[in-house]
Amino acid sequence: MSRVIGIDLGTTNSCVAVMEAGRPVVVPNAGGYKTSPSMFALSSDGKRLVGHIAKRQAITNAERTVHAAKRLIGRRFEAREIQQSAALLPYQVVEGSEGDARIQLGDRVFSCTEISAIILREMKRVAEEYLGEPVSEAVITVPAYFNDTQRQCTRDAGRIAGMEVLRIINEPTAAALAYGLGRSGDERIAVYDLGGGTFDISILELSGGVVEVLATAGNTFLGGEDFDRLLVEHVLAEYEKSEGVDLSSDLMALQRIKDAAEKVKCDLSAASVAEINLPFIANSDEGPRHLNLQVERETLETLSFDIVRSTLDSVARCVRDAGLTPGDIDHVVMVGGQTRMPLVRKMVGDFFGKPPHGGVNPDEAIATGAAIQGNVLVAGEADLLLLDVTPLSLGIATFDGGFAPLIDCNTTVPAHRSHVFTTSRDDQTSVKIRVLQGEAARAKENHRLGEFVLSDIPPSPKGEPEIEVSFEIDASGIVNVSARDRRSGSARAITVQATGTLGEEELHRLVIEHAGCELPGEA
Amino acid sequence: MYSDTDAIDQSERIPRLAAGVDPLCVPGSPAEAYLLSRIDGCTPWPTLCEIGGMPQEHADKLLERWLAEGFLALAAPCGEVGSGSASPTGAFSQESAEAEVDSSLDLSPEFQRRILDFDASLESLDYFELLGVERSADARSVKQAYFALSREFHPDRYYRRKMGSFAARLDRIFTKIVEAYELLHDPTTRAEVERNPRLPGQGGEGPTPDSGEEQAGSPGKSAPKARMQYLSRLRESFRLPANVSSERCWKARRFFQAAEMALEIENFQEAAANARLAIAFDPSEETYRVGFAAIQSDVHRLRARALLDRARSVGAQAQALDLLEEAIHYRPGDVEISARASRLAMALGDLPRAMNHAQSAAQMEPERVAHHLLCARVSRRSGDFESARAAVQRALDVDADAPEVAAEWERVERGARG
Repeated sequence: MSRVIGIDLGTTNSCVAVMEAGRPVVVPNAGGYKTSPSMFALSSDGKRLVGHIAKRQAITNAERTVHAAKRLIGRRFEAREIQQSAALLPYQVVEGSEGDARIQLGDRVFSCTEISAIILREMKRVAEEYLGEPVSEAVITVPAYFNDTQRQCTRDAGRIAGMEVLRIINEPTAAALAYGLGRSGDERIAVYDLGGGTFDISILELSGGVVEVLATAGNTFLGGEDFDRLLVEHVLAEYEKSEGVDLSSDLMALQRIKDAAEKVKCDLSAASVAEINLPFIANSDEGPRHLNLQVERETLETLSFDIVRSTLDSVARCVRDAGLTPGDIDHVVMVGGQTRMPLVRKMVGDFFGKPPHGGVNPDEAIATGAAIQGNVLVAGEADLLLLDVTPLSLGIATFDGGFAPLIDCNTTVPAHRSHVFTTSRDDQTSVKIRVLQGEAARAKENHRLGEFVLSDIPPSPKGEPEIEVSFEIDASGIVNVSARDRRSGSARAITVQATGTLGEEELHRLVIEHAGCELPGEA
Repeated sequence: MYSDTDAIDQSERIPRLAAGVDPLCVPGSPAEAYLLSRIDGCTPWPTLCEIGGMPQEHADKLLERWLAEGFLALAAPCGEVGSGSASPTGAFSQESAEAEVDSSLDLSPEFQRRILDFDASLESLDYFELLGVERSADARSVKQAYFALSREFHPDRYYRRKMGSFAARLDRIFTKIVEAYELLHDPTTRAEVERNPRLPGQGGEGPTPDSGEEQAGSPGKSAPKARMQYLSRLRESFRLPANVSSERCWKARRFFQAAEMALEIENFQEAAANARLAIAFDPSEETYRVGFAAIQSDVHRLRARALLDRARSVGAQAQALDLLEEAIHYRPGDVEISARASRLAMALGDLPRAMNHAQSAAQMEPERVAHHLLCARVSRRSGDFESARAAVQRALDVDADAPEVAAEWERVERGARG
């Protein structure tokens, strides 16, 4: 039997792990790196590049290089977040046939699912090269606060990449599994996960190998990229102030500044001052211009203070949802590269009144946990069991525009609930059921997972038909909804499987197309 | 299904332990216990008689007796299982008979039986029994029981195994375990459960008008539904306030902390603004109100002091009087300010205002002679000797021997005379 790999499909970097002799191993790629940039590019001669080589050519080929596609996956093109961030992206974001956000590179439009698939296939290849055997099954992680569409897109991406996705698990949960492996005591931990593009906080209880998620909260649009963006804006403003040149419309300069900003941000985790030095950043009548700027840690901290503070609001909510106080938490586990920032560590440490736990690698823990969960599933590993929860309430829209949640957030999965609804008009023969996910009281403020029509209801006065709507969330957090008219004798049932942004037909085409498309490896 | 049960050969019968029976509780000799221990749900009746370690007819009789006493059930087609016997599984034997232990599945026979038994007893157990905890069990033991059962029944433990009809049973069991845990874990719902530990939906309780008909048709289906409604009702009654207020409470606390910090650096205005926000977000917290009141009085004291200082330094007396009156607004209980305002107003010739302040001073401190004399003086200046006499009289009531009272009396009398 082939082995199951665990993939952390990150916003900026991805990582793959596998279980070997009962221990999780993070697989290095051919270049010796344990993580690969989640980047994809089309070179000028039409070659597909992925990972480190895609990153290396990003400066000279900015508009045909995709980074942070995870921030777009499963989102609608007109969403405010997409519109805001698209303005800052060097590549072009366009509207897809399903209203989803897609990416145009040259004359080819890629769905975000497809981009993720390409990165997943690369991670699969890295693992296969290391193991010397083909891999066909994976556990993939997503931010805990991903909604069902985003999860489904990720699952589809796995399928396009030629793998069966056994399970989609939440990133902080995976990190907790990595932390909990081999620990037998009772403890409560908080996993603070600030990655490249998303922020999650989960409170978990570990006891005798059972890992129970008590509560989860987060923000799928907040991460290290935002720190970078603030720093880039700062650099642009400073440069314009001192040199009078606006670089914000120069794609190549922008990409160079972005790279430099990311690097400076990382440097400032260790040093108190760092320097951005970009010679020949622009040309003017008086000759070439250079960018030379010192950035102090304090400057970065001032710029990003509000972001870090906003994460603490989620943390507080999550602790409270778990029915605990910050002092009840035994250990604070920090994952995601952005948690290396001293300000983040300090503020989170201050909140919980204890320094973060140092025993978990922030870049590798999530992939490790995914591999552990894969092993738990297929090898029947009895030492560890995960009791996960659904992060978002699930329900349907009511006729007056309200939202009726049927499964509350933080309910242990698998879960099912059903509820009986009725018609609002006499002789109504069909009802439209709109399935929503979210926490807002108004239907339209929540995320719409899908809708379907139950028809052939025998004509009867309003209020008489009994329409039973059943909701099911499986252990992956994937939702199934069915409706049944209980009075029409034979139980008619419709099942809608929530879908990603790709139609079944398109998905099928991509599975075949990508199966024949092997990407060149890392040289 | 086998409809013609009479035709089944004795040799096809496969005994198994009946649902809920603990083999340790079956009375018998050690030899009998040995036979009991051989019963695994796959070994047929004749084989058991052969390997039972006792004469075959004894074994045969013993098995018949256990069957009649309800300790055993038949794993194979089972038309006559309950015949005349009070089997503990009586009510569920029909269901458990549908899918008996199947050796082709990836589950041990023992575990299959465990699932069958647990599933069959789901309807008869209350929430405490379901988790296997005492009524008095604390939160910790409830959680541990839940974890232990999860380790046994969580669907992930049997991922991809060939499970036949057991998958649905396992699912049912786990859902039930979670339900019991959720209710007993939350102190509010637990209190409700303690009042009525029986699972709602048992015994024909049904909130929907059509449930009677439902139950006639499919007894197994409507019970869970009724329980679900009960559950969601329970949740509804507790959930909203907690959820809605959690964020607000947190915000309120942060505002109040900000208020305290502002107070420390004596920025009273900031402190008051933050405390007011804290109360707006969490009106139920008494500390915030008390804190706000304290801050408020500090703010007023400070404002008044500033006004008094300005009144002292300002040149124009009319303006000073306005400032004093503003100060009185912030410290309405400060008698000195009122007295000062009264004297100032008198000096300006604004006798009605002077009267006003003098009277409020006298009201606040009726035991002080000076305030009454002030009233008397203002009244005298405005020509109202009646009131002036009354005021002096009040001063006399306080202190009849004070020389200044006598002097004022003199002046009032002189004025009245013309």
